[in-house]
Amino acid sequence: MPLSSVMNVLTASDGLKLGYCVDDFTDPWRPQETLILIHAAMGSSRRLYKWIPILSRHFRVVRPDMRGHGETQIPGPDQLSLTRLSKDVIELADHLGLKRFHLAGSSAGSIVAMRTAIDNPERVLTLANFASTPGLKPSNIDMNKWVNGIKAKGFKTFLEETIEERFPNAQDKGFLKWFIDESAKTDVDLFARFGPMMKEVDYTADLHKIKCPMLNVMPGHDPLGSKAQYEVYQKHVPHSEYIWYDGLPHNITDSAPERCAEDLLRFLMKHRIS
Amino acid sequence: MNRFTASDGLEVAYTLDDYADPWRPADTVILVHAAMGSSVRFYAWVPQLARDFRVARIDMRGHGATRLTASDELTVERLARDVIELADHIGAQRFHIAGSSAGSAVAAKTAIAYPERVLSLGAFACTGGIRHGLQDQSSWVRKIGEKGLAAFLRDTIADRVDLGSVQPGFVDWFIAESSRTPVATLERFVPMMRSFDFISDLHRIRCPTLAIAPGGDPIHTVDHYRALPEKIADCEFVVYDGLPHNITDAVPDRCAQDYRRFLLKHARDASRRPR
Repeated sequence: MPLSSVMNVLTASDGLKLGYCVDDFTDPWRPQETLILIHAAMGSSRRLYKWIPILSRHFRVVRPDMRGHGETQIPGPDQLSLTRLSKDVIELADHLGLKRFHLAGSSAGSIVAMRTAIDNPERVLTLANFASTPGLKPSNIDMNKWVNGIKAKGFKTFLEETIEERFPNAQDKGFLKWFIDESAKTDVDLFARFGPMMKEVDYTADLHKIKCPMLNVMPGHDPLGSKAQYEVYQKHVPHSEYIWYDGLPHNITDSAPERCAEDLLRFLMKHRIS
Repeated sequence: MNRFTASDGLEVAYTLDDYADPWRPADTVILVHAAMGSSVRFYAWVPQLARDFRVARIDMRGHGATRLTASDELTVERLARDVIELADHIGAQRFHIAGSSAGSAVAAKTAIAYPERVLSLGAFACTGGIRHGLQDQSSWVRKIGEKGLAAFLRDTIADRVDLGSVQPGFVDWFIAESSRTPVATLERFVPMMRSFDFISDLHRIRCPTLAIAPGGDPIHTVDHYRALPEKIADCEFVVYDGLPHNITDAVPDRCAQDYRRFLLKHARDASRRPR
């Protein structure tokens, strides 16, 4: 009976049922600040469980399952867009009564987080970007190859064949198996819509609208995104901070989760309002 | 909040927190709160413990979300059995157990009565029975009856926490949370605890034990607390200098950190042990 966080359900304004969980071990007599933490593509809130013990003593942590992922329903033909994913974040915040909140995301989840911060600057206190370019258009991901590979072989085999690229030198075989099993829960047809949608997106031109404190935690050795591609925030969001994880490929939020959570906690403590 | 039905038919509430890696076995820890408390009062402990252990927090009979009617049994034996039945319910053949104050008496009773089930014991503010203390807890019940639990706690709060070092807001929260306990529960619970003397059974505790005592407690002296390391064969003893009785509420992170260090040393999965 592993991973205890209880799933809650919210009905979005277009009728889709969204799953999310809340982990909160903060002192009840102190003003509360909330972090919304968004998982990567092929993931779910569950993939971020290692972050919770580090963050939840200081911040209430809300983890949504993005449309089509985890416990959230698969969206209909007209129910999937970056605008809609970002609207889900705002509707979840409204549902929880959060006027303002901290926001963080991993990879595609960070694309949603950044878009939310650009469109709703009055709502987002801080923004933390783990391993993402502003949309997948400015990245090296060959989405057609991914989608075709997944369609041809299924998620499990596709991931098994590419797991070394994600986690070179991984010692814990139990973790690798768990990662593959969790990711392979993703609906193939959903990914065939989600991945290419993200590949169309590039909002570099909007980045200057990000005025809140911003943290970028970036893999230093990522075949999916070059250093130059990840450095775009330096130019457009000059006040943003950078932390490079030297030598690590793309999946830093899974391969170094405690380190990510500790860097995020430091950033949040520096910028907490209470 | 989850529930299970105890063998005498009472519904017992508990919470379960688990952030341990799903692909390898994790030991279970059961936490038992103090009198006038509930599982809620251990919230600050969970992040420290739940990455390496499955953490279950029980609401004792008459406390928190577990009810108690006049016809329901209330004895220390029954409270220990509730712990065992919770462990059965969540599939923990063996488990670590820790308790705070009266909860530590229940935890100790569990370790004494069910030695084959208990891997280790964490005893926070635990003596061999509250009757050995400096205060007559029977007078507590009378005062609670006269003025209500909240006023009683406010009058005696300095016995429980160091007012110079707790954060603003903590005392109000602590009193509001504790005052949710029905007076009818305490009218039975306090005399029951006062008549429970297990000092002569302490030597029967064979599992590794961590005893942490408040060093400035108006309710018990450090010598009362020293009964544990004197009578339990494998007992680490730590005194928190200067602190009154309720260390598990006033310095929860310190308690949980010390407990985590102890638990990792005694975890069955050796890969969790510090090298």
